[in-house]
Amino acid sequence: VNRHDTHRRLLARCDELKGREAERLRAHLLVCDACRELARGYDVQDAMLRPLGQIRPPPALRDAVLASIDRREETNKEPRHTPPAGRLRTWFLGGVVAASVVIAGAFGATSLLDRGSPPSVQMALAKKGYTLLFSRAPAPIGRNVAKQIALAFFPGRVSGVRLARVLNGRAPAFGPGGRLCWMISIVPPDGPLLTQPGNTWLDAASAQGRALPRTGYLVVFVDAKRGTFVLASSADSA
Amino acid sequence: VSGHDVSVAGIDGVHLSDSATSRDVLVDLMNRYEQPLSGYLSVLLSDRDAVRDCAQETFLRAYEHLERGKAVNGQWLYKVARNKAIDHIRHLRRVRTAVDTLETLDWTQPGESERIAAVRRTLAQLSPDDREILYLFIVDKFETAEIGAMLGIRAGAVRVRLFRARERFRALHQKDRS
Repeated sequence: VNRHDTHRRLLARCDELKGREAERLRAHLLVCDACRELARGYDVQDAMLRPLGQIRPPPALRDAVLASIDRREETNKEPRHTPPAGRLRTWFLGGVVAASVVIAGAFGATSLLDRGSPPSVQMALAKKGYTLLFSRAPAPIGRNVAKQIALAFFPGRVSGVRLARVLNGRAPAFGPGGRLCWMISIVPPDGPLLTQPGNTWLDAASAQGRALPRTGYLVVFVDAKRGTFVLASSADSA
Repeated sequence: VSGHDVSVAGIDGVHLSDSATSRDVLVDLMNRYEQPLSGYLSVLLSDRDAVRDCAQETFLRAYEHLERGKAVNGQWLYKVARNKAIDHIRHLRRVRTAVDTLETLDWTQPGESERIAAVRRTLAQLSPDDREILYLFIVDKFETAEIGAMLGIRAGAVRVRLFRARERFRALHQKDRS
Protein backbone atom coordinates (compact mmCIF):
# COMPACT_ATOMS: atom_id res chain seq x y z
CA VAL A 1 0.00 0.00 0.00
CA ASN A 2 1.68 3.22 -1.08
CA ARG A 3 1.16 6.60 0.46
CA HIS A 4 -1.44 7.57 -2.12
CA ASP A 5 -3.50 4.48 -1.33
CA THR A 6 -3.30 5.24 2.37
CA HIS A 7 -4.94 8.58 1.72
CA ARG A 8 -7.61 7.02 -0.44
CA ARG A 9 -8.50 4.70 2.41
CA LEU A 10 -8.65 7.64 4.78
CA LEU A 11 -10.93 9.42 2.35
CA ALA A 12 -13.36 6.51 2.41
CA ARG A 13 -14.00 7.21 6.08
CA CYS A 14 -13.16 10.89 6.29
CA ASP A 15 -16.35 11.60 8.27
CA GLU A 16 -14.92 9.91 11.31
CA LEU A 17 -11.36 11.20 11.06
CA LYS A 18 -10.07 13.30 13.89
CA GLY A 19 -6.82 14.99 14.94
CA ARG A 20 -3.67 13.97 13.21
CA GLU A 21 -5.32 11.71 10.63
CA ALA A 22 -7.72 14.45 9.55
CA GLU A 23 -4.87 16.93 9.37
CA ARG A 24 -2.74 14.60 7.28
CA LEU A 25 -5.58 14.04 4.81
CA ARG A 26 -6.29 17.75 4.52
CA ALA A 27 -2.66 18.43 3.72
CA HIS A 28 -2.60 15.71 1.08
CA LEU A 29 -5.77 16.97 -0.61
CA LEU A 30 -4.13 20.35 -1.10
CA VAL A 31 -1.53 18.82 -3.34
CA CYS A 32 -3.26 15.82 -4.94
CA ASP A 33 -5.76 16.36 -7.75
CA ALA A 34 -6.66 12.67 -7.99
CA CYS A 35 -7.60 12.45 -4.32
CA ARG A 36 -9.59 15.69 -4.53
CA GLU A 37 -11.51 14.16 -7.39
CA LEU A 38 -12.09 11.01 -5.37
CA ALA A 39 -13.26 13.08 -2.39
CA ARG A 40 -15.84 14.74 -4.64
CA GLY A 41 -16.91 11.31 -5.86
CA TYR A 42 -17.40 10.10 -2.31
CA ASP A 43 -19.41 13.20 -1.49
CA VAL A 44 -21.71 12.41 -4.39
CA GLN A 45 -21.92 8.82 -3.19
CA ASP A 46 -22.92 9.95 0.29
CA ALA A 47 -25.56 12.26 -1.12
CA MET A 48 -26.97 9.42 -3.20
CA LEU A 49 -27.13 6.92 -0.37
CA ARG A 50 -28.35 9.06 2.52
CA PRO A 51 -31.96 9.34 1.32
CA LEU A 52 -32.21 5.58 1.81
CA GLY A 53 -32.34 6.30 5.52
CA GLN A 54 -35.59 8.18 5.05
CA ILE A 55 -37.48 5.01 4.30
CA ARG A 56 -40.89 4.85 5.90
CA PRO A 57 -41.12 2.11 8.51
CA PRO A 58 -43.43 -0.72 7.52
CA PRO A 59 -47.03 0.27 8.12
CA ALA A 60 -48.47 -0.73 11.47
CA LEU A 61 -45.11 -1.99 12.74
CA ARG A 62 -45.36 0.03 15.91
CA ASP A 63 -49.00 -0.88 16.47
CA ALA A 64 -48.23 -4.57 16.02
CA VAL A 65 -45.32 -4.49 18.46
CA LEU A 66 -47.21 -2.55 21.10
CA ALA A 67 -50.33 -4.68 20.68
CA SER A 68 -48.21 -7.78 21.21
CA ILE A 69 -46.76 -6.32 24.36
CA ASP A 70 -50.14 -5.24 25.65
CA ARG A 71 -51.51 -8.71 25.06
CA ARG A 72 -48.52 -10.19 26.80
CA GLU A 73 -48.93 -7.93 29.81
CA GLU A 74 -52.62 -8.65 29.89
CA THR A 75 -51.91 -12.34 29.72
CA ASN A 76 -49.50 -12.10 32.62
CA LYS A 77 -52.15 -10.40 34.71
CA GLU A 78 -54.88 -12.89 33.86
CA PRO A 79 -53.19 -16.15 33.07
CA ARG A 80 -56.31 -18.27 32.73
CA HIS A 81 -58.74 -15.83 31.25
CA THR A 82 -61.35 -17.36 28.96
CA PRO A 83 -62.42 -15.06 26.14
CA PRO A 84 -66.11 -14.31 26.00
CA ALA A 85 -67.79 -16.20 23.23
CA GLY A 86 -69.32 -13.02 21.88
CA ARG A 87 -65.94 -11.47 21.39
CA LEU A 88 -64.67 -14.49 19.56
CA ARG A 89 -67.71 -14.44 17.34
CA THR A 90 -67.06 -10.79 16.54
CA TRP A 91 -63.50 -11.55 15.59
CA PHE A 92 -64.62 -14.28 13.30
CA LEU A 93 -67.46 -12.36 11.75
CA GLY A 94 -65.16 -9.41 11.26
CA GLY A 95 -62.90 -11.56 9.17
CA VAL A 96 -59.91 -11.54 11.47
CA VAL A 97 -59.03 -14.99 10.29
CA ALA A 98 -58.63 -14.67 6.59
CA ALA A 99 -58.06 -18.23 5.61
CA SER A 100 -59.86 -21.30 6.66
CA VAL A 101 -60.20 -21.62 10.37
CA VAL A 102 -60.64 -25.07 11.57
CA ILE A 103 -59.42 -26.17 14.89
CA ALA A 104 -58.07 -28.67 16.58
CA GLY A 105 -57.11 -31.95 17.99
CA ALA A 106 -58.30 -32.53 21.48
CA PHE A 107 -56.90 -35.46 23.28
CA GLY A 108 -57.69 -37.51 26.29
CA ALA A 109 -57.24 -36.70 29.91
CA THR A 110 -54.00 -38.58 30.05
CA SER A 111 -52.48 -36.17 27.57
CA LEU A 112 -52.99 -33.38 30.00
CA LEU A 113 -50.85 -35.17 32.50
CA ASP A 114 -47.88 -35.25 30.18
CA ARG A 115 -48.43 -31.75 28.88
CA GLY A 116 -45.60 -30.70 26.65
CA SER A 117 -44.75 -34.19 25.56
CA PRO A 118 -44.57 -34.00 21.76
CA PRO A 119 -44.89 -37.74 21.08
CA SER A 120 -48.39 -37.95 22.54
CA VAL A 121 -49.60 -35.09 20.40
CA GLN A 122 -47.73 -36.42 17.44
CA MET A 123 -49.24 -39.88 17.88
CA ALA A 124 -52.73 -38.52 18.25
CA LEU A 125 -52.33 -36.47 15.10
CA ALA A 126 -50.75 -39.41 13.30
CA LYS A 127 -53.97 -41.35 13.81
CA LYS A 128 -55.68 -38.65 11.81
CA GLY A 129 -53.17 -38.92 8.99
CA TYR A 130 -50.80 -36.15 10.04
CA THR A 131 -47.06 -36.34 9.84
CA LEU A 132 -45.14 -33.67 11.71
CA LEU A 133 -41.56 -32.97 10.77
CA PHE A 134 -40.33 -30.74 13.54
CA SER A 135 -37.93 -28.07 12.49
CA ARG A 136 -35.63 -25.57 14.13
CA ALA A 137 -35.21 -23.53 10.98
CA PRO A 138 -36.21 -19.89 11.10
CA ALA A 139 -39.67 -19.23 9.72
CA PRO A 140 -41.00 -16.14 7.92
CA ILE A 141 -43.49 -15.69 10.73
CA GLY A 142 -41.44 -15.88 13.90
CA ARG A 143 -42.27 -17.87 17.00
CA ASN A 144 -43.25 -14.80 18.98
CA VAL A 145 -45.56 -13.53 16.30
CA ALA A 146 -47.23 -16.93 15.93
CA LYS A 147 -47.60 -17.12 19.68
CA GLN A 148 -49.15 -13.68 19.79
CA ILE A 149 -51.63 -14.66 17.09
CA ALA A 150 -52.66 -17.66 19.15
CA LEU A 151 -52.79 -15.62 22.33
CA ALA A 152 -55.20 -13.21 20.65
CA PHE A 153 -57.66 -16.08 20.50
CA PHE A 154 -56.61 -18.01 23.57
CA PRO A 155 -55.38 -15.49 26.13
CA GLY A 156 -53.23 -17.10 28.75
CA ARG A 157 -53.68 -20.57 27.37
CA VAL A 158 -50.74 -21.11 25.04
CA SER A 159 -48.56 -23.82 26.52
CA GLY A 160 -46.13 -24.68 23.76
CA VAL A 161 -45.07 -23.53 20.31
CA ARG A 162 -43.13 -25.69 17.88
CA LEU A 163 -42.32 -25.30 14.23
CA ALA A 164 -43.15 -28.25 12.02
CA ARG A 165 -43.69 -29.15 8.41
CA VAL A 166 -47.13 -30.67 8.46
CA LEU A 167 -48.12 -33.29 5.92
CA ASN A 168 -51.45 -34.94 5.46
CA GLY A 169 -52.42 -36.67 2.25
CA ARG A 170 -56.04 -36.57 3.30
CA ALA A 171 -56.14 -32.82 3.92
CA PRO A 172 -55.73 -30.74 0.76
CA ALA A 173 -55.01 -27.64 2.83
CA PHE A 174 -51.53 -28.99 3.52
CA GLY A 175 -50.62 -29.59 -0.12
CA PRO A 176 -48.43 -32.36 -1.48
CA GLY A 177 -45.21 -31.05 0.08
CA GLY A 178 -46.74 -30.23 3.42
CA ARG A 179 -47.04 -26.86 5.00
CA LEU A 180 -44.71 -25.10 7.39
CA CYS A 181 -46.72 -24.31 10.49
CA TRP A 182 -46.33 -23.33 14.06
CA MET A 183 -47.96 -26.03 16.12
CA ILE A 184 -49.42 -24.41 19.18
CA SER A 185 -50.69 -26.32 22.17
CA ILE A 186 -53.56 -24.65 23.92
CA VAL A 187 -54.33 -25.41 27.51
CA PRO A 188 -58.03 -26.16 27.76
CA PRO A 189 -60.05 -23.97 30.03
CA ASP A 190 -62.76 -25.09 32.36
CA GLY A 191 -65.37 -23.50 30.17
CA PRO A 192 -66.10 -23.84 26.46
CA LEU A 193 -63.31 -23.75 23.95
CA LEU A 194 -63.47 -22.08 20.58
CA THR A 195 -67.20 -22.19 20.36
CA GLN A 196 -70.25 -20.21 19.51
CA PRO A 197 -72.79 -19.31 22.13
CA GLY A 198 -74.63 -22.48 22.92
CA ASN A 199 -71.40 -24.38 23.22
CA THR A 200 -71.01 -25.73 19.73
CA TRP A 201 -67.96 -25.79 17.52
CA LEU A 202 -67.41 -22.80 15.33
CA ASP A 203 -66.15 -24.76 12.41
CA ALA A 204 -68.22 -27.18 10.45
CA ALA A 205 -65.59 -29.89 10.26
CA SER A 206 -65.32 -30.17 14.00
CA ALA A 207 -69.00 -29.86 14.70
CA GLN A 208 -70.80 -33.05 13.74
CA GLY A 209 -72.76 -32.89 16.98
CA ARG A 210 -69.91 -34.10 19.13
CA ALA A 211 -69.57 -33.32 22.78
CA LEU A 212 -66.91 -30.74 23.51
CA PRO A 213 -63.70 -31.81 25.15
CA ARG A 214 -63.21 -30.45 28.62
CA THR A 215 -59.76 -31.80 29.19
CA GLY A 216 -56.71 -32.62 27.12
CA TYR A 217 -54.90 -30.69 24.48
CA LEU A 218 -56.20 -28.36 21.91
CA VAL A 219 -53.71 -27.97 19.09
CA VAL A 220 -53.88 -25.24 16.51
CA PHE A 221 -51.66 -24.66 13.54
CA VAL A 222 -50.61 -21.21 12.40
CA ASP A 223 -49.24 -21.01 8.88
CA ALA A 224 -45.61 -19.97 9.31
CA LYS A 225 -45.65 -17.89 6.15
CA ARG A 226 -49.02 -16.20 6.26
CA GLY A 227 -49.84 -16.13 9.93
CA THR A 228 -53.30 -17.58 9.41
CA PHE A 229 -54.83 -20.51 11.18
CA VAL A 230 -54.99 -23.62 9.07
CA LEU A 231 -56.90 -26.82 9.23
CA ALA A 232 -55.68 -29.15 11.91
CA SER A 233 -58.06 -31.90 12.70
CA SER A 234 -61.53 -32.64 13.85
CA ALA A 235 -61.75 -33.24 17.55
CA ASP A 236 -62.01 -36.33 19.60
CA SER A 237 -64.14 -36.04 22.65
CA ALA A 238 -62.48 -36.48 25.96
CA VAL B 1 -43.70 -4.03 35.15
CA SER B 2 -40.74 -2.94 37.14
CA GLY B 3 -38.82 0.25 36.65
CA HIS B 4 -35.44 0.39 34.97
CA ASP B 5 -32.20 2.10 35.44
CA VAL B 6 -31.67 2.57 31.77
CA SER B 7 -28.86 4.05 29.85
CA VAL B 8 -29.60 3.80 26.17
CA ALA B 9 -26.61 4.72 24.09
CA GLY B 10 -26.25 4.70 20.35
CA ILE B 11 -26.39 7.36 17.72
CA ASP B 12 -27.76 9.73 20.33
CA GLY B 13 -27.61 8.91 23.97
CA VAL B 14 -30.91 8.67 25.83
CA HIS B 15 -31.37 8.63 29.54
CA LEU B 16 -34.73 7.75 30.95
CA SER B 17 -35.84 8.09 34.51
CA ASP B 18 -35.63 5.24 36.94
CA SER B 19 -39.39 4.92 36.94
CA ALA B 20 -39.58 4.22 33.19
CA THR B 21 -41.23 0.91 32.38
CA SER B 22 -40.01 -1.49 29.73
CA ARG B 23 -42.84 -0.29 27.53
CA ASP B 24 -41.78 3.35 27.95
CA VAL B 25 -38.22 2.48 27.04
CA LEU B 26 -39.36 0.47 24.05
CA VAL B 27 -41.52 3.32 22.78
CA ASP B 28 -38.53 5.62 23.08
CA LEU B 29 -36.36 3.13 21.23
CA MET B 30 -38.97 2.84 18.51
CA ASN B 31 -39.16 6.62 18.20
CA ARG B 32 -35.45 6.64 17.54
CA TYR B 33 -34.82 3.44 15.67
CA GLU B 34 -38.00 2.42 13.89
CA GLN B 35 -37.03 4.31 10.78
CA PRO B 36 -33.26 3.69 10.67
CA LEU B 37 -33.67 0.04 11.56
CA SER B 38 -36.27 -0.42 8.82
CA GLY B 39 -33.92 1.27 6.38
CA TYR B 40 -31.08 -0.99 7.43
CA LEU B 41 -33.20 -4.12 7.08
CA SER B 42 -34.45 -2.95 3.71
CA VAL B 43 -30.88 -2.95 2.47
CA LEU B 44 -30.39 -6.51 3.65
CA LEU B 45 -33.70 -8.09 2.72
CA SER B 46 -35.54 -8.36 -0.52
CA ASP B 47 -39.14 -7.85 0.48
CA ARG B 48 -40.94 -5.55 2.80
CA ASP B 49 -42.87 -8.26 4.61
CA ALA B 50 -39.57 -9.69 5.73
CA VAL B 51 -38.42 -6.23 6.82
CA ARG B 52 -41.57 -5.81 8.86
CA ASP B 53 -41.29 -9.24 10.47
CA CYS B 54 -37.63 -8.83 11.36
CA ALA B 55 -38.18 -5.33 12.72
CA GLN B 56 -41.14 -6.52 14.75
CA GLU B 57 -39.26 -9.46 16.18
CA THR B 58 -36.30 -7.23 16.98
CA PHE B 59 -38.41 -4.81 19.00
CA LEU B 60 -40.22 -7.64 20.77
CA ARG B 61 -36.87 -9.14 21.63
CA ALA B 62 -35.78 -5.74 22.95
CA TYR B 63 -38.83 -5.65 25.16
CA GLU B 64 -38.05 -9.10 26.55
CA HIS B 65 -34.48 -7.98 27.17
CA LEU B 66 -35.69 -4.89 29.00
CA GLU B 67 -38.11 -6.97 31.03
CA ARG B 68 -35.18 -8.98 32.29
CA GLY B 69 -33.66 -5.73 33.52
CA LYS B 70 -31.01 -5.49 30.83
CA ALA B 71 -30.11 -2.37 28.88
CA VAL B 72 -30.78 -2.04 25.18
CA ASN B 73 -29.02 0.39 22.89
CA GLY B 74 -28.85 1.11 19.21
CA GLN B 75 -25.98 -1.26 18.56
CA TRP B 76 -27.82 -4.06 20.31
CA LEU B 77 -30.88 -3.44 18.15
CA TYR B 78 -28.88 -3.46 14.93
CA LYS B 79 -27.13 -6.63 15.97
CA VAL B 80 -30.38 -8.43 16.73
CA ALA B 81 -32.00 -7.11 13.55
CA ARG B 82 -29.03 -8.32 11.55
CA ASN B 83 -29.24 -11.79 13.08
CA LYS B 84 -32.96 -11.91 12.34
CA ALA B 85 -32.27 -10.90 8.74
CA ILE B 86 -29.56 -13.54 8.40
CA ASP B 87 -31.89 -16.20 9.81
CA HIS B 88 -34.52 -15.13 7.34
CA ILE B 89 -32.11 -15.22 4.42
CA ARG B 90 -30.79 -18.65 5.41
CA HIS B 91 -34.31 -19.92 5.60
CA LEU B 92 -35.16 -18.55 2.18
CA ARG B 93 -32.00 -20.06 0.77
CA ARG B 94 -33.17 -23.45 1.90
CA VAL B 95 -36.68 -22.92 0.60
CA ARG B 96 -35.86 -21.26 -2.69
CA THR B 97 -32.94 -22.85 -4.37
CA ALA B 98 -33.35 -21.09 -7.67
CA VAL B 99 -33.04 -17.53 -6.51
CA ASP B 100 -30.56 -16.25 -4.02
CA THR B 101 -32.49 -13.43 -2.45
CA LEU B 102 -29.31 -11.95 -1.10
CA GLU B 103 -28.49 -10.93 -4.61
CA THR B 104 -31.86 -9.48 -5.42
CA LEU B 105 -33.00 -6.26 -3.93
CA ASP B 106 -35.76 -4.93 -6.06
CA TRP B 107 -38.41 -3.53 -3.81
CA THR B 108 -39.14 0.12 -3.71
CA GLN B 109 -41.13 2.26 -1.38
CA PRO B 110 -44.47 3.52 -2.65
CA GLY B 111 -43.89 7.02 -3.93
CA GLU B 112 -40.13 6.62 -3.90
CA SER B 113 -38.38 8.79 -6.43
CA GLU B 114 -36.78 7.34 -9.51
CA ARG B 115 -33.44 8.64 -8.26
CA ILE B 116 -33.63 6.59 -5.07
CA ALA B 117 -34.92 3.61 -6.98
CA ALA B 118 -31.86 3.89 -9.22
CA VAL B 119 -29.60 3.94 -6.17
CA ARG B 120 -31.30 0.80 -4.93
CA ARG B 121 -30.74 -0.89 -8.25
CA THR B 122 -27.05 -0.05 -8.11
CA LEU B 123 -26.86 -1.24 -4.51
CA ALA B 124 -28.57 -4.47 -5.47
CA GLN B 125 -25.60 -5.33 -7.64
CA LEU B 126 -23.30 -5.24 -4.63
CA SER B 127 -22.81 -8.06 -2.17
CA PRO B 128 -24.88 -7.91 1.04
CA ASP B 129 -21.69 -7.23 3.00
CA ASP B 130 -20.92 -4.21 0.85
CA ARG B 131 -24.48 -2.92 1.06
CA GLU B 132 -24.53 -3.32 4.78
CA ILE B 133 -21.27 -1.56 5.45
CA LEU B 134 -22.11 1.36 3.16
CA TYR B 135 -25.46 1.75 4.82
CA LEU B 136 -24.15 1.61 8.37
CA PHE B 137 -21.32 4.06 7.74
CA ILE B 138 -22.84 6.51 5.28
CA VAL B 139 -26.54 6.48 6.07
CA ASP B 140 -26.61 5.60 9.75
CA LYS B 141 -23.27 7.29 10.42
CA PHE B 142 -21.88 4.66 12.72
CA GLU B 143 -18.14 4.81 13.22
CA THR B 144 -16.05 1.94 11.93
CA ALA B 145 -15.28 0.78 15.48
CA GLU B 146 -19.00 0.63 16.27
CA ILE B 147 -19.68 -1.29 13.08
CA GLY B 148 -16.90 -3.68 13.99
CA ALA B 149 -18.54 -4.29 17.37
CA MET B 150 -21.87 -4.97 15.68
CA LEU B 151 -20.50 -7.32 13.06
CA GLY B 152 -18.00 -9.02 15.33
CA ILE B 153 -14.95 -7.97 13.32
CA ARG B 154 -12.08 -5.58 13.95
CA ALA B 155 -12.37 -1.91 13.08
CA GLY B 156 -9.41 -2.30 10.70
CA ALA B 157 -11.31 -4.95 8.74
CA VAL B 158 -14.36 -2.68 8.58
CA ARG B 159 -12.21 0.10 7.13
CA VAL B 160 -10.84 -2.14 4.42
CA ARG B 161 -14.32 -3.39 3.58
CA LEU B 162 -15.70 0.13 3.55
CA PHE B 163 -13.04 1.34 1.14
CA ARG B 164 -13.62 -1.60 -1.18
CA ALA B 165 -17.40 -1.24 -1.01
CA ARG B 166 -17.15 2.44 -1.85
CA GLU B 167 -14.93 1.68 -4.81
CA ARG B 168 -17.25 -1.03 -6.09
CA PHE B 169 -20.28 1.22 -5.72
CA ARG B 170 -18.47 4.01 -7.53
CA ALA B 171 -17.50 1.72 -10.39
CA LEU B 172 -21.05 0.38 -10.72
CA HIS B 173 -22.53 3.84 -10.62
CA GLN B 174 -20.18 5.04 -13.33
CA LYS B 175 -21.03 1.98 -15.41
CA ASP B 176 -24.76 2.56 -14.98
CA ARG B 177 -24.40 6.20 -15.98
CA SER B 178 -22.41 5.39 -19.06
